[in-house]
Amino acid sequence: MSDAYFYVIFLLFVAVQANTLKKRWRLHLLRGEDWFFGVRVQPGFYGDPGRKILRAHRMRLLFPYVVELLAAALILRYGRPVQLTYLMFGMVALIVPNHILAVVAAQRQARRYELPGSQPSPTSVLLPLETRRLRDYTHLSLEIGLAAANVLALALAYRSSDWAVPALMLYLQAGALLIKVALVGWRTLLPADHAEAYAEWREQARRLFLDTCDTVRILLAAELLFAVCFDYLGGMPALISATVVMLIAWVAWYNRRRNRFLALTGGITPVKLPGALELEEYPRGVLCYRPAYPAMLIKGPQRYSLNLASRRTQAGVAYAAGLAGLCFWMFS
Amino acid sequence: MFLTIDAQDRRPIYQQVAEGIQALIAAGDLKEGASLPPVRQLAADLGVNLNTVAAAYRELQTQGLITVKHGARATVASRTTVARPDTELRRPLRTALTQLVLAGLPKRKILGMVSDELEALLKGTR
Repeated sequence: MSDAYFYVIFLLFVAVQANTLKKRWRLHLLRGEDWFFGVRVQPGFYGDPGRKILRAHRMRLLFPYVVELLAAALILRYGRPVQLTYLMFGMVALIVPNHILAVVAAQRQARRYELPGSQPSPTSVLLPLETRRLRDYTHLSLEIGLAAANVLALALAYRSSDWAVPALMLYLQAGALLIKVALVGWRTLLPADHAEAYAEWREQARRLFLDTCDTVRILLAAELLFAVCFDYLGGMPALISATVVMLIAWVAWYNRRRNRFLALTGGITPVKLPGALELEEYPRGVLCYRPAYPAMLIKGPQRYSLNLASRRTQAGVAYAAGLAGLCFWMFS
Repeated sequence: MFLTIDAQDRRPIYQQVAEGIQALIAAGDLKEGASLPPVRQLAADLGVNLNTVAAAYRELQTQGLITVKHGARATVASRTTVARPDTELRRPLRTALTQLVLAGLPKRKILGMVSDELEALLKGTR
């Protein structure tokens, strides 16, 4: 593929990032001026203490972009444009967890200025008795379409000696499927008050993330097909145009869904739900091994702990190791 | 359809789960043949040991309220299959009534409470 392809994709990626950063910059005001994310703050918070917390939070938000800028400069100076693709994957893996951790850290700091009694922590919780299965969140026609596109792409790629791109695209699709499995198993515990509203919010969140996984799988399958049909499509201009159109459509779709979800989130008062109900001793570190507990994340009084005994955690670790191996193979 | 669990309740979690499902079956919210969530899902949602939920399901199975087949999900059993002797059925009623009498409530008040609870319980089955 020509260098122009990687430059165009990277520029699109930067444009999407800028738009996302703009939204995250003011996300702390989602529930209004009385709130800092999910913390109901005391009047005057945004004066002295809040300003410092907000500044530190925004610095944390900017951190991955500084890393990206430096890495992109090094790649453009010493590397090859194809490495911009790996940088983009790396950035996605860095930006999302960084944002989550930044929000968690900022909220923790803001709790010192929380309006007393503003966040209820009910001891009584409701547990939905509906069975959640992956197949209930699976669209058969979509799966058939994706399978057909992948089989067709592999059949066309069979003649090619370059298996790196098809292997990566298929592996990433499998990763999106793995995330879907984890999302279906996402802990669903509801406060006794306004349970219906919380259940609706939780379900909408689950649907948003699941649909995002599905649309990412569509993008990857389509991109794989376009990449192997490179010659038939008429070369680079057609490939770039198809990619740009797909990405723009996806960003528009995602923004619309996300805005709808954020509007719903703004109307929900955060509740501190109890952690694991039965643990005699909460895990102390961020990692733990509790074979008798099937939860992937065990919520303690202070933080979550990743349960290495959970099947989903093990699948995730195996997947990450496989991805690292695949990237190593591609580089070498 | 929800199950209420109280972290500060004196009853153990397995008992709360079992009694919550019992109440839903009695009220007709969980009908015959309805599937219950897998043990793994309930345990992960509650953040409890797998054995805790399994114990609740075993309790319900012993009472003949659900059927659990190996490799299949637990389902609500047919009500006609619950054939238990009268003396066994009366035992929990006697225990509950004893508590109310020991609490010093007069007979009329106890009868009123029993009637109200029965009315609330059967509301869903009508």
